[in-house]
Amino acid sequence: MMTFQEMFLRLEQFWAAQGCVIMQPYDIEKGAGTMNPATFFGALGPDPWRVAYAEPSRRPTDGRYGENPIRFYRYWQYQVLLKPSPDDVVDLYLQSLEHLGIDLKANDLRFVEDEWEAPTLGAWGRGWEVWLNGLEVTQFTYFQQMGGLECRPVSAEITYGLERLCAHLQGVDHLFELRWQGPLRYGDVYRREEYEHCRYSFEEASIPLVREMFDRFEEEAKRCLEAGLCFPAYDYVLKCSHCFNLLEARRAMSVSERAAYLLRVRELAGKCARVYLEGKVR
Amino acid sequence: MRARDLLVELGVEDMPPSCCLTAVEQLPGLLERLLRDCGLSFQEVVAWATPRRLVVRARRVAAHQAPRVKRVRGPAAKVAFDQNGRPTAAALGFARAQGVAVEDLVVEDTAGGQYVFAVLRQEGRPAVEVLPEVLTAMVAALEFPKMMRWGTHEVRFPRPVRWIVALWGDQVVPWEFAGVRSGAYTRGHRFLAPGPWLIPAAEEYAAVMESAKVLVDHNERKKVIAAQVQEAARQLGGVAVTAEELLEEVTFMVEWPTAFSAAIDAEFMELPREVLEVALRVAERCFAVQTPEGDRLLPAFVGVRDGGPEGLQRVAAGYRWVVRARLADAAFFIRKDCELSLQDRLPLLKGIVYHRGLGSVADKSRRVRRLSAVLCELLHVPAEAARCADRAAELAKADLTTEMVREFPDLEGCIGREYALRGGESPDVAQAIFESRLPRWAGDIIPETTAGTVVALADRLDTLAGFFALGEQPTGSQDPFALRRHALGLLSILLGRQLRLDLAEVFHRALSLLPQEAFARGKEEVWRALVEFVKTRLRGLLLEEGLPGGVVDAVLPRPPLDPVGLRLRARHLDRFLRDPAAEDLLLAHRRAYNLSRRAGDWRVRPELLQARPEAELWEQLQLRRERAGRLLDREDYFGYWKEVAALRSAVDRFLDNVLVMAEDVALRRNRLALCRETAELLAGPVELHLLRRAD
Repeated sequence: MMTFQEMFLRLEQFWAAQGCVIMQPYDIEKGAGTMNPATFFGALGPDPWRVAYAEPSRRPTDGRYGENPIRFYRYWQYQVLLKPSPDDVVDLYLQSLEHLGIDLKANDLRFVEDEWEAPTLGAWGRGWEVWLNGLEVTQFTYFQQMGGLECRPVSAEITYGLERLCAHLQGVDHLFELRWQGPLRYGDVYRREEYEHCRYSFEEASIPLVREMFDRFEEEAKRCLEAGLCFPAYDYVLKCSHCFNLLEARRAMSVSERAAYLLRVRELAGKCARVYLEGKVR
Repeated sequence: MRARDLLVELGVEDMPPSCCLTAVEQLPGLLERLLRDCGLSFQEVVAWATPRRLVVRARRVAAHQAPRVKRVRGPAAKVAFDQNGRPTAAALGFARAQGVAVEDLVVEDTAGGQYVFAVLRQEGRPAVEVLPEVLTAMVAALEFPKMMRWGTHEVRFPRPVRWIVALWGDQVVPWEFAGVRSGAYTRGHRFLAPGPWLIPAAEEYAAVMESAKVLVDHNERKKVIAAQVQEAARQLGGVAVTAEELLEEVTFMVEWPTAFSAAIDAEFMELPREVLEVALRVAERCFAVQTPEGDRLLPAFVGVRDGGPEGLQRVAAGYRWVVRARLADAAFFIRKDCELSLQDRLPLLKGIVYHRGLGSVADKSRRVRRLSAVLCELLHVPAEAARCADRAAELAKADLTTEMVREFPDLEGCIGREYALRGGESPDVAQAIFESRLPRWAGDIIPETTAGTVVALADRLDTLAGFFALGEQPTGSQDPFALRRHALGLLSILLGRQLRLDLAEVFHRALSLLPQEAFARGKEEVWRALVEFVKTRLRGLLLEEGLPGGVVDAVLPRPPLDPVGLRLRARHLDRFLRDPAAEDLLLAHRRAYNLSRRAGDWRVRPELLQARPEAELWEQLQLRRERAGRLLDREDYFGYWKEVAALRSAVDRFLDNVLVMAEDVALRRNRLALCRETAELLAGPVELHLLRRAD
């Protein structure tokens, strides 16, 4: 049986063979692997770039206290960025699924239109949710814009939902049942952590403190940008974004306030992108 | 060489269904036009689409362009030839420049006199040489709602193009688009028969695709899907709920459809029906199954996979699992939402901006509530229903703050009704909350309860008034706030429920409730624009109903702007025009009306009626006016016109025998006034002079 950890190894192997730089997760909370600087900055500018890494995605509003079989506060993404997008990128993706042991003929694999958008990053793209027997297992996107800037050339981003793919392969009913390694199951490792993070995000997070942190992180990001330091600035943008997600989970923002917060993060991300490209020219 | 089929297949990565649809709508017309323009004869053109290919085929495209004859005008005949009829230097020069012999020049008459012409015959080029230009123009002219770039290309298309088949008969049409060269190889179904597959000749395309496990013809595919889905539902003892939109979307998501069914866990069958339907449709593109009577859903659904029967059990189990997780989520949301009642949610509406200048959603709710009260008064709504409308107007928007509506925006209103019931509101209030959103689209149901009707009307009146005040009225194809839909909704409720309301008056009330900062221009100007806008929509609806434009135009200008009343008049007038008496009415009216326009506002003074015909007409007028008036009160317009049409002989006698434009000023004025009163009576409740017949 394909264990959870075996999947990481297989994907790493597959994409390393395609010339990807294999990286490890970036050490700041983020809602999606796209927000990793290796993708955010990597998708900008003209230079070819291929990278692959695992990334834990934290989405406070998506938590269900571990009750829902597939919706979690945190799950693992495997993220691949190929710039420029190669002509056979879809075939490569299909091969990677076969490499994981998925029989494509005996299942229903579908590319379902998805006009992907990450408003906090000023990013949008065209692509698909990939469905495996109705279950969304991958986001496949051709980036059109990042940080408010046109992507030239266009990158292809492939984001695998590892738990879901694994659930398909192992045939379990709940992600907690996934075999991670030997007899050890996913729930043995994460059950309590998942529950506590949900409690925290929905019930305990201090709204005034998180608001204040947002303001402070924003200030520091701006200072960094003035100094021309896009990477440290971007770290604070990620922190702002996580604060925003927490406030959302706490239902602490009215709709208009939410839009205002979102705009603040987007403006910072846009500046980071511009400072990054200016630095490359120099 | 004989004519052969032209076959073009653009192989793409999975296209959005909406783009497939727009492509097949545009392709045949485009190709026909381009082939015609370049002189390549052909028979019918068809287009098909699957998620992975756009196909267009023209039957029997000629091997060569038709030779073209071009006539080039040269010098005037008298300049080109001398008196003896010999060509001059001008003619010789012209012939040389055009590459024809001087004796081949012809003289023709034109509007400007006789001129010399050179007749040039251009031989047609071979189809295979011309077609690449045709295809380039065809692809360039395609319009899509969504486009993208990919790789290092600058070209934009809905999804990346990966292969191209372009064949004229068995010859490859050498063409390149988006960096891809045309060839004779296509690909089959992604997993069942990937290929590559050689298409030996355009005529053999369909047969090859059959082996390649691709059902290319989308109309055929749609039929197959619909039949399979119903068969699967029948085996479950029910009927599939196959909304046309979903069926179409699924059609453009699969190349080789196979339907399957799966169960829904009993615990979820307590969720509101709409929630189940939307979760299946939006989240999984699956079909709900209802009892043959349609009174409730069965605990099962039908899906369509892209592939054959292999592993179908497993596919079904997978979908079932996802649907279960989705419904568990819906149950979770509902549980969470119910921690706050709709009443408790009202303060949250203050935080939602409705639109800049129009305040928050709470502000909008307040206006809708007050407008509902106005409507209740105008429509003589009984006190109990009015109370119900008031409560529904207050709570109607509260579901916008719920998780369920955030997750399933289509369920606005349904969720409000559900939570109102759970929160202990009366069923009437709950139903009115739901109905306040109706109709949601063209052809949707309209409110049935009085309270729901009132709130739905008030909501639309406020929306129209608000956006018109801001100057955001639709222009051309731009209608970002769907105001046309709102206006049509407003009218279809009034017409459908037979409610008598003067919209002109109601818009005044709606405008008076808006905040001052909403007005980008004067209130009167906004009001006039609103009235015109609604009239135009009403005109459209009445024409759709089959009423002639000429009739509608005679009816609409006359206040009040009461759609039901106006429709009734239009229907009666249309019917009356087919009655023999119509001639009498129209002739008498035309004669009287033409003179009446000089009549100012003088009234008839009976003591000045000297001639007998005018006294008789006056007498008739009084008599008919009284009888017709009673018919008018009963809204028997047909009867009314029938009654007054009998005035014709009196009108004729008057106008044939009495000089209206008499020298005596007093007499003249009196006779003109008589004409006016006659014309007014004949026209009755419409502007008869605006009537146009036979369009």
